[in-house]
Amino acid sequence: MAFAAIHVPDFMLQAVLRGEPQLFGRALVLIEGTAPLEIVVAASEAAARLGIGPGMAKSQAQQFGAIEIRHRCSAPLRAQEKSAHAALLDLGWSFSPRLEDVAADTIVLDLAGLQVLYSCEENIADQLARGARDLGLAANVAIACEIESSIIAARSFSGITLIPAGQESQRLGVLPIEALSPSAELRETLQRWGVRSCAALAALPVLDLSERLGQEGVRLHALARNENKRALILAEPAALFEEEMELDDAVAELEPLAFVLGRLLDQLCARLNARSLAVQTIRLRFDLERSPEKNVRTLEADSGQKTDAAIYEKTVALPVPIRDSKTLLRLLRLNLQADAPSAAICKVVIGVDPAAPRSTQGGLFLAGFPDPEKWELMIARLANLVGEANVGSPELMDTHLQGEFRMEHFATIGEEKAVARKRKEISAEEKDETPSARGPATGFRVFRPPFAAKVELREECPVRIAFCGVRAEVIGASGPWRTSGNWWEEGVWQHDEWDIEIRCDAAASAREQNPGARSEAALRDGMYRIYYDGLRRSWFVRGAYD
Amino acid sequence: MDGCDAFDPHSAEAAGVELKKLLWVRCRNLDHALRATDLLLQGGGFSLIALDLSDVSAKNIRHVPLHVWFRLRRAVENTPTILVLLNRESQAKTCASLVLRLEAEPTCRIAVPENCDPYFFQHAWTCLFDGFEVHAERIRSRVQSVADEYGGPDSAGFIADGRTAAFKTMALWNCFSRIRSGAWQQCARAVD
Repeated sequence: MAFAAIHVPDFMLQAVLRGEPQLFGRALVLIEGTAPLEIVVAASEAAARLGIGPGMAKSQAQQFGAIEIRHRCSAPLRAQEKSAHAALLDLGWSFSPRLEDVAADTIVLDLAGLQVLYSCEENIADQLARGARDLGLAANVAIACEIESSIIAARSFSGITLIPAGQESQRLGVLPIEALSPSAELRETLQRWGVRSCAALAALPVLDLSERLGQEGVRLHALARNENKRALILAEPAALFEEEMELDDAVAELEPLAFVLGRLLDQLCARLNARSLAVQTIRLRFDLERSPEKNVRTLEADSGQKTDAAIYEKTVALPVPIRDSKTLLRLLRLNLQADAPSAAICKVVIGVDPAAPRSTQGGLFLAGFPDPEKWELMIARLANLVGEANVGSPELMDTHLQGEFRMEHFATIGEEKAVARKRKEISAEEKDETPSARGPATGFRVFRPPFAAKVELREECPVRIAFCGVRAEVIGASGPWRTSGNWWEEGVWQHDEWDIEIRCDAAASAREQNPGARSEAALRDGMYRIYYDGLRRSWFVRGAYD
Repeated sequence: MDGCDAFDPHSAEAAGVELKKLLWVRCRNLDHALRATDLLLQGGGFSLIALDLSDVSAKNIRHVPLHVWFRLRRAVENTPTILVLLNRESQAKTCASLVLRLEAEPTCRIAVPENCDPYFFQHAWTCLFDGFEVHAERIRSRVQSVADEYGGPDSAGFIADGRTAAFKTMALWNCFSRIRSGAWQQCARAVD
């Protein structure tokens, strides 16, 4: 049995650099506390070379020239730390389902069964370190037979550390007692005794140590001797994949916002790829900037109570799971172009619902389908051009009311369904049920909305009609075909339909036709379907046969 | 590409169109229709793209520069996609590989049971719109001759020679009923 501990040194700094890669290589300092007593808690290598270190006051650090200062308690940094910790957990789960979340910067994995996949522990450690780099973190990886030994080794040694069974005391003995994380009081006591290394602590008799230092001393002694055996406290896999970023200055344009969205999507996709998952749904949430006038009115009305910022939310459901962050960014941009937020954006939160990535098997004798990502982008571009409600596949409603349908999202079909459909078409041809066998059908062109009409009746049969600037004589009529429905609810309807053939009065029609309506060529002699609405007591022209 | 939002999904389904395999783009103007067609041609994946501009004013369509039709032709060349332009006049001109002109005359039949009172003929509800008799004429073609493909009538009543063809379309109601009762007789058009 072996365990691997992954520790991210300088976790706070690495979390900031993961969220702001442009700061890499620059003097970066994290401070804590309230002004004017803020102190430095972490400093990057460049800052350390300048002489800045933890414990220094902020004012002292600022004297060293151009440095980047971030306040650790600010919301953006908390979000970055949370995101980095989530990425670390995703890395662990991508290797093993048995994982313990020791601290924000440390996790431990149970490596049982992984030797079959990776042949040796060195490969496992190498893959873990590489996976951490892909997620934007530089991590130490240590593999040992006991959980605590691996944690101590990962926190104490940089890079990859492999401790064979039985050599824990030898490898960890050289470490200072600070590696065992004693309390300040205990550390001071041990230092007074001259016990500075783990090997020295392990050599002390446990009974005497217990009498003088209590249970904590016994615990440290067991750690130093590698006798602290325990089981993993398993962590629950995260179901929520979310990244957020709070912006220093509100962003109103789409172009700069696209950079922020792109970075967050890259991080999310890297986490999902580590877990072999893809994006099924994107949930976008923007905290919008409130206008100053609104703020003043709000304060006056609420006597100084703070109100929540305006929020913009959008959910983009994908027909197929997608893993490419660039495709997702293009889809988001197209959606935002069509439905832009009403104010500048202060904070961006992107959450995704994961799904297993799709797997398709192409057929040898079927035409290749377009790539679903490109297909989805094309549909999004069309929706951006004509409106989302005007693109899709029509689905007929289960009603007798003419013309009822709804628009569904147009999706490609899988190869298996294409094969099944082909078989169905072949069997239908054999039974002679295809449309070609029945003969071509008459087309019908719908007028949306239906044209209001004036109809002259003789013996209850239409003889003249006027609509949309057209005056015509009815030279043939078929009907009435009476239909009604929904009498039990609000959408009740009652129509008497006629199929009529008309001959236009040419001179009158040319004078009176409304140029804003359908083109003059479209409304002419031909077959039309009209109906009398019994509830509105009016005639309408539903459409023309074509 | 529906230039004036005139497509009827009910008649399409009755004609045998699988609506789930149909992408319907409801454009409001000519510009949107042309740009959407261009997007679809660039994206690919469709075996047939129909650009319906029948209800768009001919004056507006005449203002479309010729290079737009050339661009669409270029986009569809060497692809398995067929681009069909539906219009009241021929607009694509030399850009089209095949130009067909279709004219239709409506047909009505009187559906009357045997041994019925002649008075029954006189009412509008005895008449049914049966479809159109369509005459097709090949105006221009760079593809294989129509006569090579179709010679004589087939099971759908499609009669063709070298340049023209004629066929009958069925009304919407007839597409749903596959069984024609022997008790009903077909008569010539007898309205008025």
